[in-house]
Amino acid sequence: MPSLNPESVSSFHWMADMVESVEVGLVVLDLKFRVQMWNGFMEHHSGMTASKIHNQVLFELFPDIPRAWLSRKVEAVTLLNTRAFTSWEQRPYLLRFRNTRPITGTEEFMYQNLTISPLCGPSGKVEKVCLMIYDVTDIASSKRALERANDQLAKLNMIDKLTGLLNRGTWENLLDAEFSRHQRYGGNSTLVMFDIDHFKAINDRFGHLAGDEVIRHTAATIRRHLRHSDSAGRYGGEEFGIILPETDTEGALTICERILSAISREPVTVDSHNITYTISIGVAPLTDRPKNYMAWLEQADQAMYSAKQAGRNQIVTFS
Amino acid sequence: MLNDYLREIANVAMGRSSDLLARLLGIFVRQPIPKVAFIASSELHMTIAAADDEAHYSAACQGFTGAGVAGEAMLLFADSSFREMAEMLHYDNLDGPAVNIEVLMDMSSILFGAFLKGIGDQMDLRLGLSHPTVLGQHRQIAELLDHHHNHEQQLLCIEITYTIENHNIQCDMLVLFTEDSLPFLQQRLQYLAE
Repeated sequence: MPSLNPESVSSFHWMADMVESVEVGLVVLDLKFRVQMWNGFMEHHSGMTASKIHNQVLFELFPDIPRAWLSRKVEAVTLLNTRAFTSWEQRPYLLRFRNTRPITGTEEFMYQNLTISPLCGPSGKVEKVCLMIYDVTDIASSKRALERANDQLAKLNMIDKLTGLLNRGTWENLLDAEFSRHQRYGGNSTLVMFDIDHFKAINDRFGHLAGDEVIRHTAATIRRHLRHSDSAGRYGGEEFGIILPETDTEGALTICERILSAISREPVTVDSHNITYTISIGVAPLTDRPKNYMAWLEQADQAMYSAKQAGRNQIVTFS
Repeated sequence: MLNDYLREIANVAMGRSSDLLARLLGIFVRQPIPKVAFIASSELHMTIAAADDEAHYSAACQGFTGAGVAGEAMLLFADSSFREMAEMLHYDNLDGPAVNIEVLMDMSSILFGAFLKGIGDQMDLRLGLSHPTVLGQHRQIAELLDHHHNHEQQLLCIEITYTIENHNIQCDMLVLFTEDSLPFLQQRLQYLAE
């Protein structure tokens, strides 16, 4: 081995200094996974000094490391003499380093990208591998925040803002789906449409805010009486629709009677006014007659108008 | 002229990478013939769309740079091939989206690494590789590449289709060199030819 001249000794020093201080985790392992080098980044985040873990087996120091997974990658790297890369998307981290930033850190741990690089000896054979661990927490957390925001937007698009029920478009899609399901598989399915009686009079007398409160109260009452599989939507201003899958006329009437009586019994209080109101309900069990979901909707609507004509605050079944 | 030399070099590099793949997986990999062509970057998505055939693909990309030469490699993997590939790579867990990313990352590490090393060795340059990125999953190719077709530059493209015999596995590798790399490539290849 050639002796080092003073200049190369000094350059060795500053190169070692760079490796120590670079903000990337650098670990050198021999082929038995014994730690040969552990730079400053690794020391700071793991709390273990290089001297303490030198020559120890990585898996024994950190039992949480997925042993089979890492071994497989290292084997491929050694056999092929090429680098391997893994991203935080496939595995969030190799070593669990906890969040170190009390103010700007929003994630529990550091997300990491990992590169495994072969290191050859003088003979050209791979003798060691280098793990390079990159902190990608900022990228991961902004990407996850974006995904969450998109999910939320998609959800908001389906919901009626005032009532929290499904909006008309989403609800009609479900109605269409229920109609198709019935055509294929049969069974019982009932559609309920209802409307708040004399809603315009409530608005005129107590104001629009009171009207909104009445609509909100109606939605809350329906929600209380429905089962998990039922879908309620706000169809128009004061008109609502409920899809009751796997429900015959009798079952639908039981639910509707409960809603009807709950609404007529509970007044809504707005600005010390007690507003008592009623609803008219149309029920349409699905038969073979309607050719599409719109025709089914039309049947429920007709039943609802019959309920209005018969004096309101009642239920009429389409026949 | 440039194309012929490059095809020759690609052939050698590819021989090497499919040999590695075969060794790692213990299987036979059919030697494909690399296609070398100039394409406008706006044509990029058409080139790939031609290979689409209504199938769903996932893709990983990795940038490379070396003295005067730069570009990006892309691996297109048919979604239907993931499970079998995961089996061949001896994963413990064979299902779920994380496995697909794992397959893409592993395959691109192996194929890009070996191929680009082969190219670099022959042209006597050392290519640095950036960290690969997985592009959107389970999306049509045209959609995947939509954002690529705004930039107008001439790209030199090497296309290689790998098929694994007796398995339902097929993947496409594209290596694209930037326009700026061309004078350097030309010079290097000419030198080799003399």
